[in-house]
Amino acid sequence: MGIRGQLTLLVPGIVALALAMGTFFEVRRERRESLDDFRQRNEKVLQAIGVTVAVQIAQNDMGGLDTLVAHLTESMQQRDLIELAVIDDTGRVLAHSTPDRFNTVVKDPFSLAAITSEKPTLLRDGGQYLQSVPAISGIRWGTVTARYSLDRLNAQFERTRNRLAITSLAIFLALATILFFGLDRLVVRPVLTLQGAVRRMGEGHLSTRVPPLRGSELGELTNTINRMASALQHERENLERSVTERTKELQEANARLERLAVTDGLTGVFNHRRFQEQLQAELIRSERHKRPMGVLMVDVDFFKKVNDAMGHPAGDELLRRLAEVLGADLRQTDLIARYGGEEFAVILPETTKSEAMQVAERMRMAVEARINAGTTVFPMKVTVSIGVATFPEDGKSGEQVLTAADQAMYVAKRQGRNRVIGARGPVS
Amino acid sequence: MRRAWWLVLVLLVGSCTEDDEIPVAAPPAKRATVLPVFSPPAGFTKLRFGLVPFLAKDTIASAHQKIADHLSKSLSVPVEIIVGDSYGDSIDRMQRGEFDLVELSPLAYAEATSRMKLKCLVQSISDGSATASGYIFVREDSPRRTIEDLKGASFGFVDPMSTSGSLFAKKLLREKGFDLEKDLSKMEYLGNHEAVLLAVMEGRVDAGATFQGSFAALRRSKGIDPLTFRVIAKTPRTPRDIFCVKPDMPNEVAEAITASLMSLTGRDRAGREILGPLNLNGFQPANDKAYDEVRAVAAELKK
Repeated sequence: MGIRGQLTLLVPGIVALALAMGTFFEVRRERRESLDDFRQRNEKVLQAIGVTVAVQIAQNDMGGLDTLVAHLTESMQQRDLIELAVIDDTGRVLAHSTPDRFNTVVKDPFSLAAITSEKPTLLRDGGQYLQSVPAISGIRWGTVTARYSLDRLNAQFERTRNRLAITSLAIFLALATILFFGLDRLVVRPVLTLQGAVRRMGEGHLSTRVPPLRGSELGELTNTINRMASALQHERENLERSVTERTKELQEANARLERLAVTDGLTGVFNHRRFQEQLQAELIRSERHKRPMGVLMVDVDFFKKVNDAMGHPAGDELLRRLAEVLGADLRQTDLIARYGGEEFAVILPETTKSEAMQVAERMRMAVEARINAGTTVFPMKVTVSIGVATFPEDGKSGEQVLTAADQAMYVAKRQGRNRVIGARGPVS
Repeated sequence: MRRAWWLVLVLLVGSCTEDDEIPVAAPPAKRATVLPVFSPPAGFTKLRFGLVPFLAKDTIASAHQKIADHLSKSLSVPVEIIVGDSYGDSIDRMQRGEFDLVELSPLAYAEATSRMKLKCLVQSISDGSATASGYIFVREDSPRRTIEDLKGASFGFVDPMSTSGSLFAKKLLREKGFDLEKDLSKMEYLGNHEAVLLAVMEGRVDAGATFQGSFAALRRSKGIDPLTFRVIAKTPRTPRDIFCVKPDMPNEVAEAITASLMSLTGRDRAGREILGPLNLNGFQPANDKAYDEVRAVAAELKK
């Protein structure tokens, strides 16, 4: 149940309980007081009657007694009197509001107790009061007993009770309404506003701010939450910025690593691994499109001499220059890689044997012309031997084509170097 | 804010209380004691004052002499007292127009008004009341202590037209299951209350019926101690005598008689001198409705 529902039940509940208890005790007090008052007033009246009655009995004035009782009964009937009796000390009725009862002997416990009691007596008999007073004038001459109806008193009491109940109800409605709307305005709505704002913050909308609320505690809570949200928002922005930066750095590092992984560190062309990957890919593509593909295997003639005579740095420099020259005339789709040591390998997609032979020949001539014309003077004329093989005629697999190209390259070496030799079918 | 709530509360509570107004009785109007001088209209030369014989004829006549003199003085005409031979005789004579003013016992009044129209003026007040209890009594040494003990007893009544001395006593006996003809050994009409008391005292009858004032009256007239008698039952209270004038009595005379009688009370010496022999305290304006109960009982017993 929501806070609004709980308050709706709780607040009127407490108000109703408090008012009901207040009304209950007030009604009880009222009841007790009115009964006490009633009893005391009637007792005073009876005591006054008792004196007169005593005098009349003492004078044996039966006529006067009758007149007194008759007139009292008549006048007091409007004041709740039902029955008035004068009893002698033996319980015989000397006078009674009902003449029939004259000369009878009382037998009811109340009257029997009354004629022996020295004090006024009282008995509640359902909706009636029985009261007695001794009739004393010098000595006791008899007892006056009366029966009073509580009807008028009860009706009056009921009116008082209803008035109290209606008053309580009105107060309840007013208080409950005031409290309900007051609490709704002061507590429920601010709390619901807070709750909504905090929920949106929880969902990630950190730019959400709680509208300013009245009340010192709620106002402070609002400020605290808003400050907290600001801090969170600031932190997240920082975090996001730094994550973006790190990601960018990582991406760059990854790219570098990737390049390093597929590139030959010395010459800057692709390495052996990348060459193998590309060869497989191109082979699949050529097979699917039924297109030829050429592979060149290039080896530097007498490279060992350069290293021996000029040192490894010069050898390295030569390899770098070679890579430059070999790659210079290649198409975008071609790929050159350092295959190992002083060996380079080239993939030529969409290329026939004769076209590959021409490309290889151009390479051989370019090396012969451009390397030896450079500023560095090598101990011998720098040349390359190139073996050419094509798919599918020199091999069904990359390995076969490569072996065929390698064999052709060795053939070129054996035949005197600085030449291009094409493979003659797959190597058995 | 808080102050406003209190205001609402106070208004709510305040609107729910009311002042109970206590009615204040108007002070009694001062009674005129000085009567205007009355000049009798032409033709009105004498007031015939009729009475029922509720006591011995002579006793009644002498007891009424002073009030007759008072009326005579007020009206400036002589007053003649006429006592009927019986309650019935008095009613008959009133009907024949032989009385100008009549004092009737309750049952006699009920009977008279069933036969003729009367202008009623005042009711008497005695023993401080316009009503009186009726008693059924025996002699103090009688073994009969309750009405039931009266089975087989001889019973003395006043007059068939007496209210307490006959009508209400008979009603009470019937209510207790008595068949008057069978259950009483003898029923006697002794004419007046004093005669009934004397008959019981002398043992001529076992029990009698009377009204509450007769014991005191007997003590006054004969010095007999009321404790000679024992009351064994009481009847409901009956109204006392009523004073009426003949229907064609001029209003001014009726008003003068009323004023004259109403001026008499036991509060002053002059009043007591006139009312004393009658054992009266004064008069109150007549109220015909007070006699309805008597009419009802009379009608019931006639069945």
